[in-house]
Amino acid sequence: MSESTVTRPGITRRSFLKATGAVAGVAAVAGGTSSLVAFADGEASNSSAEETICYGVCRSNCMQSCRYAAHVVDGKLVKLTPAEYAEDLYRGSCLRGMSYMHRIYSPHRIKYPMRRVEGTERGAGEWERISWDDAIAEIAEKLSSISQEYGPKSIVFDFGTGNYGEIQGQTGIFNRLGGVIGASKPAGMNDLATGYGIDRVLGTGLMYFANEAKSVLDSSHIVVWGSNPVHSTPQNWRWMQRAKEQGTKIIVVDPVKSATAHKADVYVPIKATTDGYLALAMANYILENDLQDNEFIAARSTAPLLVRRDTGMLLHKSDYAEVAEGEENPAYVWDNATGAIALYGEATDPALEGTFEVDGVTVDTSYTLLKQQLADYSISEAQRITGVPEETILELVDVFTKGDAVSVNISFGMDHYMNGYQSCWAIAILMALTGNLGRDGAGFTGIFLNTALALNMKALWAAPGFVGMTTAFPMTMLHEVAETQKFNGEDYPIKAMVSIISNAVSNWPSQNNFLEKILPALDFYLAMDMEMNDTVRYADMVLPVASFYEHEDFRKAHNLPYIVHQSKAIDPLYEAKDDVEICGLIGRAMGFEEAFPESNTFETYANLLLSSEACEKFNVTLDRLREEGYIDLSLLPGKPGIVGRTKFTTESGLAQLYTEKPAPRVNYGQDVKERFAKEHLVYYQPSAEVCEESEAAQKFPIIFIQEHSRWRTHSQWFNSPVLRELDPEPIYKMSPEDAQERGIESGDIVEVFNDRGHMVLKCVIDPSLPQGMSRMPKGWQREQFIEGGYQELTYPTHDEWAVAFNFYDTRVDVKKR
Amino acid sequence: MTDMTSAAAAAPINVSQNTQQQGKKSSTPWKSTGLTVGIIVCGILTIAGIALWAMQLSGGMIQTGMRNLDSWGLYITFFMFFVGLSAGGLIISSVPKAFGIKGFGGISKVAIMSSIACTIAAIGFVVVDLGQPTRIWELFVFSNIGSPLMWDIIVLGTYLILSCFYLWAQMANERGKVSDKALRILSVIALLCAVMVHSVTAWIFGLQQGREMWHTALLGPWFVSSALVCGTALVICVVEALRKVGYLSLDQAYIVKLAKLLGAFVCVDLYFFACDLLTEGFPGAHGADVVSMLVSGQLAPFFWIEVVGCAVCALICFTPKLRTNPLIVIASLLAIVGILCKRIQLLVGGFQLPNLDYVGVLSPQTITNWESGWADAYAGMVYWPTPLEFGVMLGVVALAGLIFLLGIKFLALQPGDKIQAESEK
Amino acid sequence: MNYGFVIDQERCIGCHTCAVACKIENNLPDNVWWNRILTDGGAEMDIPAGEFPNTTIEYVPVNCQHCENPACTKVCPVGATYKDEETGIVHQDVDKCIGCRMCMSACPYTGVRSFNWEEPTHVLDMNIGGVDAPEHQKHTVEKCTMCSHRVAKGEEPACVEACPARARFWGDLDDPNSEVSQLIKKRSFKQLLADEGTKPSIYYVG
Repeated sequence: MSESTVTRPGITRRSFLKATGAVAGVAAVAGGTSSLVAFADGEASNSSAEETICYGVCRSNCMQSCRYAAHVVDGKLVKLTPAEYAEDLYRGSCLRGMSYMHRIYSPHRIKYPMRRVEGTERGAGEWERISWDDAIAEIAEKLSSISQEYGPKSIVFDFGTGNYGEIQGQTGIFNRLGGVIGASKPAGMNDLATGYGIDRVLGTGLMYFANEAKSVLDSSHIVVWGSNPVHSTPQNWRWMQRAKEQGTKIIVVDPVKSATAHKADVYVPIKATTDGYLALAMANYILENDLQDNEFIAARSTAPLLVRRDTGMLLHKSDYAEVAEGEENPAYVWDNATGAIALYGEATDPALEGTFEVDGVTVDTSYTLLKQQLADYSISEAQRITGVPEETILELVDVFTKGDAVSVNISFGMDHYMNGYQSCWAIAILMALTGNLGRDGAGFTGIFLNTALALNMKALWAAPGFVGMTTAFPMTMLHEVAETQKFNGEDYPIKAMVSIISNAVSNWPSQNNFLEKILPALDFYLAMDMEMNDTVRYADMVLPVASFYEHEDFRKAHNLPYIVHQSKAIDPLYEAKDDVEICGLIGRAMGFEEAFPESNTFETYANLLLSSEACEKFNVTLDRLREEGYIDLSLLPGKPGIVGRTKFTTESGLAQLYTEKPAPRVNYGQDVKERFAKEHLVYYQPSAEVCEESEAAQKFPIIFIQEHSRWRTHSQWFNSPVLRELDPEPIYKMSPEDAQERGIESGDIVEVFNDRGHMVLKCVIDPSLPQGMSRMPKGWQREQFIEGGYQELTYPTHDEWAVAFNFYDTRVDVKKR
Repeated sequence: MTDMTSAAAAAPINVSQNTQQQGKKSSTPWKSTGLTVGIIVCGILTIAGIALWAMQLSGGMIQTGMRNLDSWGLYITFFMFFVGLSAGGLIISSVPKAFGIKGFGGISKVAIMSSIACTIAAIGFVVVDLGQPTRIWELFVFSNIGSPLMWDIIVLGTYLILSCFYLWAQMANERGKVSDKALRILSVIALLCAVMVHSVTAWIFGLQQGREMWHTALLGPWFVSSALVCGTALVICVVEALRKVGYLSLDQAYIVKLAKLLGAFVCVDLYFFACDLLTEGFPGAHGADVVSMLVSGQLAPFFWIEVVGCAVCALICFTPKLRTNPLIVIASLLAIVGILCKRIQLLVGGFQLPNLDYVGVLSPQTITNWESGWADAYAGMVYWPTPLEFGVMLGVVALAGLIFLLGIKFLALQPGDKIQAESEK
Repeated sequence: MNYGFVIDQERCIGCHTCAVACKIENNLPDNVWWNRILTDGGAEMDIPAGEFPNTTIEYVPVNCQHCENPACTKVCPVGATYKDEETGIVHQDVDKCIGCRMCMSACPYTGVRSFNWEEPTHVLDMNIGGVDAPEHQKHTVEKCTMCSHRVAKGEEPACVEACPARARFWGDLDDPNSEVSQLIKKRSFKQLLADEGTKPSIYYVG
């Protein structure tokens, strides 16, 4: 660590201060006035350093896309300040974004290419500095020979979320390299269950379910359900706070009294993972008491669409007539006016409910099936399962049925349990039945993604010689495949891995699997990063990469209606290189000159990516981005982006009460048939481990969640010196009851453990946790613990349909050390 | 160790009464091996203290126990304590002269000498507490005369000069060069100055509205009474020691008189303490926290040592049977320790109860025991000195001892003929 | 003119962004924080008080209160800390400070004044923040300058600019039309340790 003391370059200023000091001192004694004017004059004329300002956008995975002004003096980035957006309340910042330069200039930064010293263990921390030439030659040699011997699929490209730049980031240039190599790319599993669940109703895919953040200004109620925007998305909370000041009521449903719950009007504690049951019981109560939004159900949902009992499919036009590929294939409804079926939109009085015989086939309306499905979910049972008192549930019912416009801030809290998608699906159904969708102030909020601007990913990814990456299995299965070198009974060698803006060792569940099963299988593990995180520590070779401000890029802003430019503020420090350059070097060294000609620069790739119809329509060009900093992509100027404002992105354009063709999120050879029939209609599924009836619950009484705190974005900023001053060490928080039972006091060192692993760290007693719940801010690296690490505790399995990481579905016990 | 040499080494003495061993009454230096050893020891300790101080300045005050939330420590405690010690001597010697009443035999000059030594120590403690001692000249150039610290610096400086002058005047008076009247006027001035020094020192703390423990009007008089307690006690100890080693002789009646006086002062001091505790505690507001902190909280040991020590002291002083020399010395030492405990309570107590009862970020600069978390930082005493501070403190105390012993050695501080004659009447 | 802050505790989410902005803008040494976000709740930072689910927590960002009647300026023996009558800013002249820490004892808002207990170190081997940011000296007291170097250029303090919750306001409390004056006119406010009589220039509304 640098101990050097730095004095400012301006000797002039120092002497100046002396002068004013003396003057001021005299003035103070004399009771006179000292002069700020003098101060100002002095400063202005004496500032020796020239400051230039350029603009960029934070690209971390908090997904909030704050824009920053980068102040550069003598080629050094000296500060970052929040930069404006057309909509002032989108101007954001946070302690991480503002202290990013502490990561750039950190004494912990990786400076040179380094190779694990031969003969030392992975993770032993013995490194030798090598030249870029040697590094690239060795990487190319290793990857090429492994590819030749075991096939290109034996090389795993692991993409993380450390950079959301379009060229240098997660979906950027390394996909081009992976594509020409033909590497394996395990399916990503982060934060995908929420979208997968909501997609059943809204057809919004995995990530497009949320309205724009500012839409909450039109909400009468905001239900923050299993998320904690005060900590995890403060830029969105800013809008919610404004809404609250205008009279919007904020209700938080959460098993812990989160920071957001402390700011809310109402806090509804709920047993973890039972949210789905609550939503379904409310939905049933609403239907039983005729409180639903009939207008919405009739006009905007699939309620009248008829479902065949024999196949479970909708009764489609194609059941009776030839429908050409690409031609619309509407479903039938029952027209009460004629007593016969009619194509949707053609009936004068479509029946919302009922069971009918159509040419010997029994059909029910979607609505009828949903009602039958929901009939089992009662408020009294909900009270038992969720722990929420009946009267509170009824108050929540009031919110959804009487509120003018209810938005549900959902994000990825419920997502992180095995039953996450069912919970989110259930809430989406509740929203549909109460008409809280597709209009101002109503719908989901979380991370808004802009649907308007499709970039030309194909042009960037599919280089000459493109064979494409293979996504045969999800990330959670890599350890099995690596251990057995087989997948689905067939040989599937896994011999090399490349972690790209990824800290997989830290951010994949069941850390011990990574260390004990994946690593030993690898002949070569390459990591590229700025800091010595868990992943880098276990790699064979590490390349120093450029930071956000050391290269040019742009971000089709998540959360905002803009595409935002990042200008290169400073040259990469030490020997760091950006991804475009690294990719080119590796690509050419491996013989992919055509995909990566030396003449290709950031600009080449940027222009490829921006060569789309949508970019033309919005006039998005690199030149314009460079000049204007960001470009507004709002569809209705001044109006917030609302999901399903005119129609939903389902096949029918309607909110689906019945999912005709449910499909697993990822097909990796699992038995899809078994659950298919069950997946048409929403249902409650107890979570795997956290639910009270689970086997684990008998053994491990305490639920453990790894909360998202303000100190880190996943594991990024884990070693930022300035933030570590504020938040110096891992802290495990437990309820007063659990602590007392175990004789634990705040400040004690505890061991948190289950069958999968353990961690040893300091404990603090936190009364915002009910008995049986515990949490700790995530992102700490193994070396920061006294022993072990929190990611050892999580399990590596997934729901076969949602195929998502279930970080929170974890039980532990605790003992005092 | 050093202060023992100068003031209290006489503790275990078991002298027979009325040791009449006559010191040499002349202006020639008084010779004694013990004295020489004392001077050498004090000198070495002083040099060691200076070396440690240099260490403190170069390595930074991070080596002390002081931090942002407890920004004063041992040095300021001892500053307060030594200001108190210094006053006693001057008051003891000036009161009789100022009011023309019968004095305490020939101890006046020794008492003044102890005052001078203690004043220098007090100033020394302020200096070693400064972060930028090389900027001390600013005090005279940019003096903010509104600052109680500035008042104290002025008064303390004046007091030191006056003490020296007063000592010279007494010696000159004995040689007939200064008239009795002039000496009497000077005595009045000296007395006023002594009272001022205490009040002003009290105001350094008492005028700070920000600290519940300090902000009381009683603090001024209370400081004066505490000064009288420990000043008198110090004089008793010094005199007994000097009697023991044969530097001076003194009628036992004067010792008894001093002891009775000490007992009275201790009672006044305890009375002030009781008044303060009642005033603090009665409303049951924040002041109650102060009371419980003292009586049963983190500072309880110091509180009880003070209260019990002073009570025992008073008991000894007021019970004729107990007024034997050893017990009187013990009583005096108890009083001195008691007042030191009072100073510790006052200083640490000022920081022990945070004004803003909120928790925040802890850093190595925040609070002494920052590593163990907020609750633990305040669980025990919020501040405790480091060995370096003890070392520097010892050095400053040794400096006082050195000055005092040099005074004994080179100045004729024994009772003058005039007083000797008076006392033999 | 009397510049002051209004801090909206309803809006404040205790995110420490203002503290970090201050730290960077003023090139503060390691472990020195002029602007601290205190937790009004349980015994540890970010931990609420009370019993589940009826727990409470509030955040109190505390920097120099730039009092109208400052306790610190009165006691400084050399006038190193003084109130600028034109702006209301309480300055600290580190070139003059003798390190007696009288001001730290006098200030009721313990902790807003910070003493450099050792040679200031910076974890980054470079100067950061404003090009005209203040210097830092060993064994002197320092504190929030209200970003006077920015104010002099017509900019607002860094903490105000940075606040993502828009909870910090800054302006002239003497100007009845300023945003800060309007806020304290319209909303109930409190001042830290108001009964100390220091008349702090930071108003907490909520």
